Amino acid sequence: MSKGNWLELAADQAQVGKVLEMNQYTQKYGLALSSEDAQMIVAERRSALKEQKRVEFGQGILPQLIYEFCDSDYISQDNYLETMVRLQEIFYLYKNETMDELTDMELIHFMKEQFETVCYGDLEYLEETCLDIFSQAVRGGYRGYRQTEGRGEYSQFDEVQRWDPKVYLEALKNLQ
Amino acid sequence: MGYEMEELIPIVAELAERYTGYESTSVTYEKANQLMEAVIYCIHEYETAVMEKTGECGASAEDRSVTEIASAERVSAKEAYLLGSRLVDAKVRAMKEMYHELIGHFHSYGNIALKDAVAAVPEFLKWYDIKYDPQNTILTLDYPVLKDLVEYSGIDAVYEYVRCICIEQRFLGRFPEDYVRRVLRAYSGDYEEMFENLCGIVLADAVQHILLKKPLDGSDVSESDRCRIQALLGMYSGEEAKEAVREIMRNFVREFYDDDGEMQRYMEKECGNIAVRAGIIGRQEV
Repeated sequence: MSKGNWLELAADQAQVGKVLEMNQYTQKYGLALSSEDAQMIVAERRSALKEQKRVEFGQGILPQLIYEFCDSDYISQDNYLETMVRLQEIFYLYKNETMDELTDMELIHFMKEQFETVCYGDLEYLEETCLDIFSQAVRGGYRGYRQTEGRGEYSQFDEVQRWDPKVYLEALKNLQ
Repeated sequence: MGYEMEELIPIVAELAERYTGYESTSVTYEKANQLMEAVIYCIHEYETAVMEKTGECGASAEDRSVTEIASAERVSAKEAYLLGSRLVDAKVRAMKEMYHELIGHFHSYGNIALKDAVAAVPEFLKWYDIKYDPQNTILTLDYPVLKDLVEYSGIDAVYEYVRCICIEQRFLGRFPEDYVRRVLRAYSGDYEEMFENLCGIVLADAVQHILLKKPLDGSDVSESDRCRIQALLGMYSGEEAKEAVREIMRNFVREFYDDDGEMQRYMEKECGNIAVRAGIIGRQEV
């Protein structure tokens, strides 16, 4: 039997309906995708999967990504489509970079948390710094995220000195 | 295989979900291919079983194409996969039993390749993944048996391999250990290190003794004996010489191994090699 293009056949399964169904949930955050948007996001999904040499079965990751990120402080209707396109690209890239050690939800939790806190909505910083550092740790054998489901993980790997409320209060006191 | 890719993809998808513990919606191409091969392997296992069963029931399997059989016994791809999986599982258990019987009376005769090959089988059982990677043979099967196993993989390959070694042990086991070691030593001073089939060497020695009408007492075949063998077989054409050797082997098996048909079939091909090694056919046909 010829293996043919079965991988593409699998990847081509219609996703548009499922993405549109998510509008019912995201509307309360003022977000919605048109039918054209959904088709575009699904087409982008296909090329992202191809680029990362991955095959997706079932309903795929898109509905879950939308569900997790739709309440973000940094996503509005204006950037909703392009942010979701980028997020799914980053997601597949880091499934590979973490050698499939993380479950979908562990990775999504980690991404969402950093997107909201450390990155302040900066997708580039999420991709090139936070996830890069974290995936190196995972490849090096770190498995602590299994207990936390990917939450509260980044601080132990963060190389940047972040905001410290104690130092701030001390500095404020000194000013007074 | 009588199934379309569209029928197989849902099976692979289900397998991928189970593989990831329902915690990942995507897998790498490499993993997806491995799972697809696992599905195809199990379906092939089922189809082979159907073909063999049909072959037993009258018309020979060769007379009926796979398609005919598949349509006569048409089951869905999913059913074929599930039935095939069960056959794979049963074959692993059968191989395990065969192996346990084998090690009870196993002799490597000091040959390291044979000893290591048999010692490696438990490692196969330890690492073999029936569900997600049944097509993986895992072992390198370095000791060369007389059957060509190139078309087999996974448990099929290891099952056949163990079966071949069982047949060889049955054959060699009828000879005293000292005799076998003496024959092997005469063949090669460092036979312990060689990667050659022991059964074929002992069979060749037995055939030579029978041709010379010498008792099987471990005495070496001298240069003059070899000339006599060449003269004896030289009376025949290449094919006739091979057939003569085959006939000697068959009679030998009939007399000393209760006409063991499995053993006869196993050693048939080697008889041709023995005739060639005796130098007859080589001289006549080159």
